[in-house]
Amino acid sequence: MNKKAIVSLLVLSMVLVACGDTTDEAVVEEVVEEAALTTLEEVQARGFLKCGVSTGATGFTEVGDDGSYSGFDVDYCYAVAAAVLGDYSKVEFKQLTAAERFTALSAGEIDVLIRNTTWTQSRDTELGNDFGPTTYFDGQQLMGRVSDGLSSSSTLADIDGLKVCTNAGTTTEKNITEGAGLVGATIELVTVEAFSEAIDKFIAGECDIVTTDGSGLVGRRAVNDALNDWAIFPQSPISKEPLGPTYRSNDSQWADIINWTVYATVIADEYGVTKANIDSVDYDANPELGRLFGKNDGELQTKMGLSADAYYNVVKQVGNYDEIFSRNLNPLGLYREGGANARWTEGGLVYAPPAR
Amino acid sequence: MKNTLKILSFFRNVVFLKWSSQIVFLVGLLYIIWSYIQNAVVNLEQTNIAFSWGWLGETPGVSIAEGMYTLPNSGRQMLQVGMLNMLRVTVTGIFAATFLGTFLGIARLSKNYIVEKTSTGLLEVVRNVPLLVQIFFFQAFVLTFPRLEVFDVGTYNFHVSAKGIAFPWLNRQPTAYLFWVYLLAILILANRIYKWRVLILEREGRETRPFLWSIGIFIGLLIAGWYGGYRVMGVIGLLAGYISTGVDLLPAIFYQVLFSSIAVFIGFRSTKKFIDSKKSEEAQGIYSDDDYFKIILNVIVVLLVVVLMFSSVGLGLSNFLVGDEIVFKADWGVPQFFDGVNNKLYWNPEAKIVLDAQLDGMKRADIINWIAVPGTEVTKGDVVAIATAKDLKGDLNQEISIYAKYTGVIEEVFVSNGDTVKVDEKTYDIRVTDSKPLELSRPRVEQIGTTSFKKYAVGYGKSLSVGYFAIWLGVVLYTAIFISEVVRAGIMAVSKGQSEAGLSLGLGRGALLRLVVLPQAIRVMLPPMGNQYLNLAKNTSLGIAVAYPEIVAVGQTLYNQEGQTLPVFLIWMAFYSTVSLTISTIINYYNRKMKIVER
Repeated sequence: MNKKAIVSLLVLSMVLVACGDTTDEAVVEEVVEEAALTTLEEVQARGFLKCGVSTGATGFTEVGDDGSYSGFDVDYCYAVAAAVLGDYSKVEFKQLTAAERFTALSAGEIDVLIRNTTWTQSRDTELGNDFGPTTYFDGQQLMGRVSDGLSSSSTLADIDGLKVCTNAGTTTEKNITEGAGLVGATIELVTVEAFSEAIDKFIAGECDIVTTDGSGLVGRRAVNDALNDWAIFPQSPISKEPLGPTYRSNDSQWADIINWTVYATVIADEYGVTKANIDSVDYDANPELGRLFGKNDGELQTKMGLSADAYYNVVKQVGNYDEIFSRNLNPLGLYREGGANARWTEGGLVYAPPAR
Repeated sequence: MKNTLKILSFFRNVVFLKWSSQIVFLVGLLYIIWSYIQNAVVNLEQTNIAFSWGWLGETPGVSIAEGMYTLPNSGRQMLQVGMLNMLRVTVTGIFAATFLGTFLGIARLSKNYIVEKTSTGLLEVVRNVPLLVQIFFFQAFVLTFPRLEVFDVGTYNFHVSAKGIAFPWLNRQPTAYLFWVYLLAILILANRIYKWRVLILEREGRETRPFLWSIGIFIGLLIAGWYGGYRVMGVIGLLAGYISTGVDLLPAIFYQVLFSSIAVFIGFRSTKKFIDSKKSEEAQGIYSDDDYFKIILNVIVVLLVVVLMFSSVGLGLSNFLVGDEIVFKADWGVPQFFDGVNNKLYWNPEAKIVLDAQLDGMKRADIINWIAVPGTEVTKGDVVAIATAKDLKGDLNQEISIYAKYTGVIEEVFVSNGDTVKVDEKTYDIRVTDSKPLELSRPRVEQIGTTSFKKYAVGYGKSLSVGYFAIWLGVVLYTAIFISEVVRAGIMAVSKGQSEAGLSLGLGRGALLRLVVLPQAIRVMLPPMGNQYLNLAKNTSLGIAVAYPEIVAVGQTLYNQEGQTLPVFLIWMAFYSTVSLTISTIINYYNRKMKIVER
């Protein structure tokens, strides 16, 4: 064979090989499906829960000097660990900024994200995540100095031309842009990675206004002892911010576990069962609690893949909704009474389906 | 021993082995790449994350702190703002770092003890502290200054506050672009004249004073231009206008065909050149296997380009170039580019007068009285008209004054008494001639509306936000230090014998540096210098730490709001690669020019 014939034959064979690559798709897919464990199995095998929390949200995620975590969201992480693993302390916390929280969840770096994240339609559908029940009903507000002429009766129209600081990659950004546009105000929006940076800029004077969820503003104001210096406005928040846990889509078992952990704390609160008095509950008089705490036959929990006393552990080790709320948020000046976070029997929105 | 002709089996043929191994390797490589892409696609589908480019055309709904469009109407526009912000820091930073670095480098070689020790000290500090820490330091430094609200309203020579830094600056008037083009033209002319006079000097041996001639002509033309002559460059704007209307008529398929034909032409020409070179004396028409491979590869690449051009990628690119408004909400295509040139470089560009007085809730203003008459001169800040302010319902009846934004002579006014002007647009048209292209102005602190907040007035002096200042100074200082080391190394690399020879010829120290040392030193300095520029360009991505909205910060906001992480990453990679490759190409061009020319 001469050189030219060899060359043309080889080129032809190369082209044919390149065209015949369609069989590989099926092989790849099969391999991927076989290896996937459900999140529950992974957590149980691992022995601890990986929980995504904030880099610093007063009242929701706080890190003490000794490295211990505390806060509303942190307590719910502990609750999930108590439900799944029986011991609330088996949690590894991962502090995430607003910018990286969803990618960390999708990538599998954390099992659940409890990081004062707002439940919105786009986040529910477009990011491959689902939301659990709302643990805190919040709303977006702004904060400015009283000495600059702002007060709690100021409105969005008063911020025309001002510099506003907030977190990047949040619903806050979109809401303030939209809100300002609707009232015809133009603002200069400076976005930072962590809210503490925004507060620093506000204190130094680079920003005229800060904005985030009302709970965050109240928390920061309390921490900075500025109750009379800083005003939070407008009275009725400019948006709804339902905060709650987030988990990956297409894992119904894990979704149910997280959801019912939250509901368990709410049901315990409805009955007034706390850490202190859980051992003296009369299960004959309150059969629903018997079913919830796995005292009678424990079927409800075992069918979910948990141990029968999963929710007993949650309330015993962490507390009920009211305890979690008052422990973390009352010191900041946030109270359940009269707001959306009160019991449904008292005009609030905190309501759980029955344990049956 | 028998004399038989043994035919080698095909798998022992050297040619076959060489070719097959190359092709097998190529196929294997392509297969690996293909399977990785498949893997990514399958995984993305499984995790319900969408991978699409539609968000480029959707409104992101967020606003940006500083930049060309603070309220972008599409994802694409938002990325554009981020890119422009990054380029602002990069381009100005490169020039500043080079000047500062060269100065510091030469200072380190100084015989003056204090100068040398100070620059060495500065170098050691800046070099050994991480860049991010330095950037945070500059931000913290500015934030320690008092709030802007404690200062009085007025004009200052220099001002620092927690809201940034402001200093005097030559502000651009509408005709500034014309002036830059004119300046460039006369610089090139002066350069040509210099070379021409040097040529005559060398040929005829008489003194022709090339330096004086070129400088003289430059200054003369500069003065003539400053007082209005620069407008002659407006012919470029005029031409651009014609080109724009012409290019507007071209359909998308034109660009596809154009790029394909360019590819075919280049491929054809390079193959022909290659074949011709083989016919020369040395090669004698012998083709090795590598040569065959080169030719075949050439043909395949050309075919790939043609196929790509006529696929969806090529169609998208052509639509982008045509300025397709529907797909990209684009205000940027080839016709729009020429249109922009037309607007900016028109010999008599439109200036705008600014509705400077603003009241709470004011949406419209009805002109009562135009004070400024065509043909009169106005200075920036002069009152040009009195108007009645009205809000949406028409109730707010208050008189306001309207101020001029630029200095110049009013030629034409397009609004007259009784007309209504919309405050949202904030400007309306007059034509201003005889304005100076640049105007020195001092910074001004002004009240924001009727609130007690203050800000640095736009258009008076230059004000830098805290984030911009922090990233700019941090990146410039850091890169300048490394450039100073490069400069010092370059100068020290020129052998001592050169300086001694120059001195023995009677050259002064200045002439020695300029004619003997620096030309040789620059050859050594250029490659590492290019490296430092690339570092500067990439270090600007730290702007996210100080809330400066450059491409990384903006991209991060976008992918968090839209959920499209992978596309944004791809855009980042493409953008940074393009910027870096552009910088290296420019440096390589100078590198080649400086190469030692062999006899």
